[in-house]
Amino acid sequence: MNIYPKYALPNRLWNSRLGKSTLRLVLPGLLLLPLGGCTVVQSTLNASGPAAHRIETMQWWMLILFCIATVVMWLLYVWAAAKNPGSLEEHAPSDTGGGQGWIVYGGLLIPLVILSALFAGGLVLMQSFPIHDPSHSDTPPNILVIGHQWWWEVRYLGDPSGPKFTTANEIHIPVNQPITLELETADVIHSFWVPALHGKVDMIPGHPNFIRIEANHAGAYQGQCSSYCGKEHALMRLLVIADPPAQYQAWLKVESQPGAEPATPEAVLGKQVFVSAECSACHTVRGTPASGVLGPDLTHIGSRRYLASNVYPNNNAYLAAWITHAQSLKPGALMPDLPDYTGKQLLDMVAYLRQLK
Amino acid sequence: MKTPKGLVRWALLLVAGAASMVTAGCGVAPGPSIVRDGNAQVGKKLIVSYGCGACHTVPGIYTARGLVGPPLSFYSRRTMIAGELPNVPDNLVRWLMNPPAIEPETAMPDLGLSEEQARDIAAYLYTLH
Repeated sequence: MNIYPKYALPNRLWNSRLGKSTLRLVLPGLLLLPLGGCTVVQSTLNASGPAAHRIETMQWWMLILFCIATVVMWLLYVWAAAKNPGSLEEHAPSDTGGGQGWIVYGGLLIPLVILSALFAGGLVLMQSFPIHDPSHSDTPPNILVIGHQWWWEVRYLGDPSGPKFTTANEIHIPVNQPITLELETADVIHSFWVPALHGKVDMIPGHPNFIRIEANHAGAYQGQCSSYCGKEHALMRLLVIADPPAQYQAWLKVESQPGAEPATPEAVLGKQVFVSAECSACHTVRGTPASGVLGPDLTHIGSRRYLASNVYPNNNAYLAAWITHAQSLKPGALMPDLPDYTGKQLLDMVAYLRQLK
Repeated sequence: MKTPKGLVRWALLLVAGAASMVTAGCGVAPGPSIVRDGNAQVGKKLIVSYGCGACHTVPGIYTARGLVGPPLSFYSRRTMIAGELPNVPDNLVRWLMNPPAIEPETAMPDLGLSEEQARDIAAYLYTLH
């Protein structure tokens, strides 16, 4: 016995081929829906700056309009199914008359209106972000960010009176102050994207781009390379930290100093290993013979929150593992495995690097 | 009564999905630990936050897939710690708190664990039977 009346809607939906395939698509979709609530770290809907707020508004408009369109579509679908019960064989082919109105209005005109409105909104939005505008030339960029496979080089250009220095993967900015970044790349195309602060801007070989970011709240904002750039593209993250002005000035001052001289016996030994080993071929610690430029500047590595382009927490365990077996943590990274050090040498180096604050 | 086959398959899929969601919420089964005052559930979180998985593969912890040091599978059944100490709770706690103090040439760093934290981590490791 069937629990539904013969022509009840669920039964008809289920018994039609179309209904079945639709349910197959829709149910997994519904199961995935709660996942959408999980993204808080890198979300456009979590804006914290003027540019990002505009993008967030646009995003909401798109979401709402698309939800309305989807709901209307489904209601029409259910209505059509309820209106004409029975199998396809019982009905005349659908192209024997009528219905053109649906195609013209529903399929062409209404989408045209909605998409045109969004397009116009998008153009207006883009105009309010002078990304490479000559009128910016009177305000030179504050920070140069260079994309590498797969990390970010960050050069502070000495905004008007500040110090000049190089760091990596962590960008500090003063809160509530627009900061202009110049975006370049050392190899392939990357894309700079910190969703809470702004949209995406590509880093293109031989063509500097600019982006102006501003954070309205102190805090750390995670970003991500958003143009596929090779094997570890997904692990090319960055962190923008907005500091209150006094804290920002203090950070600038510390960061422009040369690397701290080691104080403990382990760190002293670690420095000897570090500067005499292959490390210095790629890495710089200002104030020491280590002056390589292929990898991130490590002058203040001890004060950074993460390692490997903001992938792993910066602690003794991950730093030791990163030095000896980087390829197990980020396969393909330019940092090679360095398995020739004894455990003691390794930990001495960790002690040295961790005190570089 | 004829049940549509597809419907049964769907029901099974939904039940399986729901079941996997429930089990995903499960941590370590609570219960008295072999380690005095050790809390295996807290230990599991500490293993993640201190980055043990940078070097060790630790069963039950997805992010702990390190290939630098030995895997910690079947830890409760192992007889030696670092190849030199009998594997008993007090030794493991001592080792976790400061490995170089016991084995000066080890690459395992002093993570600055308190005794309580070391006990919690040891408690987790002894759940790996």
